[in-house]
Amino acid sequence: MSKEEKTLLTIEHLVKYFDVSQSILHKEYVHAVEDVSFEIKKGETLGLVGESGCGKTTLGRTILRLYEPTSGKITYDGGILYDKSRGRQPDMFDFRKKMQMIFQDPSASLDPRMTVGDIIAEPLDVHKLCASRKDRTDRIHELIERVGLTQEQANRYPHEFSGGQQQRIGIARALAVRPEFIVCDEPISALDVSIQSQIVNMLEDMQEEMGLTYLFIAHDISVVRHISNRIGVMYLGSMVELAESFELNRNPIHPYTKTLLSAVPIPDPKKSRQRQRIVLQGDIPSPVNPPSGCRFHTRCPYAKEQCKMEVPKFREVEPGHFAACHII
Amino acid sequence: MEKTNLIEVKDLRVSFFTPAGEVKAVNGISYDLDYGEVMGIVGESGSGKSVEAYSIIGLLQSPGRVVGGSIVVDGEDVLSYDEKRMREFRGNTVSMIFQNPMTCLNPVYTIGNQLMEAVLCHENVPKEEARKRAMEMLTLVGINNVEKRMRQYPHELSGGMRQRVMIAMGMICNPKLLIADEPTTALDVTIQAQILELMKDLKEKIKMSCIFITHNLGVVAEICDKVSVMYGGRIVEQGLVDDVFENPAHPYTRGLLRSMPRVDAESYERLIPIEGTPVDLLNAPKGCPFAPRCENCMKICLREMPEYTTVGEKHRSACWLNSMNKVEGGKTDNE
Repeated sequence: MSKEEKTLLTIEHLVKYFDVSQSILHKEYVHAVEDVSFEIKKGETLGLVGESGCGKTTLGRTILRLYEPTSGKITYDGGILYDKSRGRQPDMFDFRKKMQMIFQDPSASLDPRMTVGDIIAEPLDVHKLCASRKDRTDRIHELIERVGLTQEQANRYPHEFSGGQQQRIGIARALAVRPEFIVCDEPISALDVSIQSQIVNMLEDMQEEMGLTYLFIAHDISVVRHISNRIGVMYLGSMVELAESFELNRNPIHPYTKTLLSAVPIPDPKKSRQRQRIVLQGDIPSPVNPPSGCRFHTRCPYAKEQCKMEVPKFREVEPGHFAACHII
Repeated sequence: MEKTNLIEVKDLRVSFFTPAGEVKAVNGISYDLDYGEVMGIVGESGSGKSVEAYSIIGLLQSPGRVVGGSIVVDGEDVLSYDEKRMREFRGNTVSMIFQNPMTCLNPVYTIGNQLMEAVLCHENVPKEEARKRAMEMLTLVGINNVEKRMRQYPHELSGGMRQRVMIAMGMICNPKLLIADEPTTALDVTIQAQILELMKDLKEKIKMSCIFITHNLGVVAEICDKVSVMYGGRIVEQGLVDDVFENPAHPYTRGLLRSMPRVDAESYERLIPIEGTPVDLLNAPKGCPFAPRCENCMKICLREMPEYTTVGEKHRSACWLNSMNKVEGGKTDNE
């Protein structure tokens, strides 16, 4: 996969809280994303993994400003997308031509009353990218064939397609405006095992062809590791580790990454019998009242006093390998 | 009838009679399971793996119906049971745990109440005794603070905890067979690991037989002794886990194993997907259900259903390639 060292997207101290107060006297917030900073380089795939409720989807949506950030700064290709310190935030309309999203549930993200052709062309219509009627039809046909469907299928409705095909339609729609950057939010977790690899391969091919940059969000670390150049591991709203994907596998630093890797079952009976597994006790704490200090300390097998008091810094432990933990 | 196996399923056929026509969800499957064995059933959605399990425990809902074959559990023909006998059979001999523990627990009764209900329904014991049993079970599945948990309602527990309660409930009457229908699919990997460790532990402790239905091959490799791979209502391959994972004989099994990224891979390898879409059982193909997607498809595959061929000890597969190699001189590999 091609990698240029040019930074496409920079996220600095991004925070997203959701107000869940039930009375005006007692304010309560879900701390969905808490002080996350990272960069995405042009042409790379950055994977995000974590358990449900760790804020990975919220982070993806906040980057596209589908959710308005609470604070922080987002820079895209030199232009400011969001900056808390400035009063008025920039208009997103032009950015949307460059940044698109693929959603988790393919059937819920397609309008049941629109034909597939109209769904794919909607971004083109909104951004007025087609000069004529014929242009529009040609572009629809080009896109629909690119994702492995046939031209005739453009006149059908979403319910006539299987889950895998619906996801292909979602991908065609995201590609319509010729974006540079796509947030893939669990694009394959709703699909059957044998279909998942078809979609993964297609995403890889398109990246090569069009030089796309992906933010790939999934809970399945084996898929994320396969498709990503670098992986960020999230726990309860914060990023705990970020490294090259094979480096992360060989040399996980944060205790949470270690448990996450050892929890994935390996489809090989001999290996899985030999394997020593770290089993975490308990469940993920509530993001409304996250634990003090390091958020992982309640479940961490190595936790000490300091972990309860101080929030560990997200620092570069080895070149290109970041982690936030006191014991390293 | 000889009483060697706990469960023997022979040529089971289940159909759903829908307005659009007959859907042969399970199309002639056979297997047996010994006492203390754990068998995994793997397959995609719609391959018939859950329907098959529901027919063992008599939970098939209209318009589904068993249309052929036999299910013998512990020497008795289950399909001949009437509703009353079935009620005794469920829970006592066979019990089941489901994918989504939230929808299977009754939200208006406490955990303790629901666990005790199972005991009180099946056995003539005083309430105190049932209570004691419920608490023992909860301790066994790794729930602490049992006194408090007994008084709580399902919504007060987390997903992993609820699944533990479901397992406790499934086992409280000491069934001989536990059917687990995707018990870890709705859970996060770290919680899935907890539940898998628990089930491995219980397998050692109480030597119960178990049918484990899942689509995750990793889970099968970890917990099962045997595995049956289902596709389009048929078992396409069956054998001990070591054999099936090491020497997959059916192209579908091979395809599945190749198409998933592995967490233990050393370097980047491109995935080799299975092309095409899952079979539509309403218009099932005449021959092998996998033929339209199979890379080794031959003419005969489209015409006739392959018979089972033995490819190793306790290892059989339904594929023309295997039976042809057999004729040509007993080779088992065909790549």
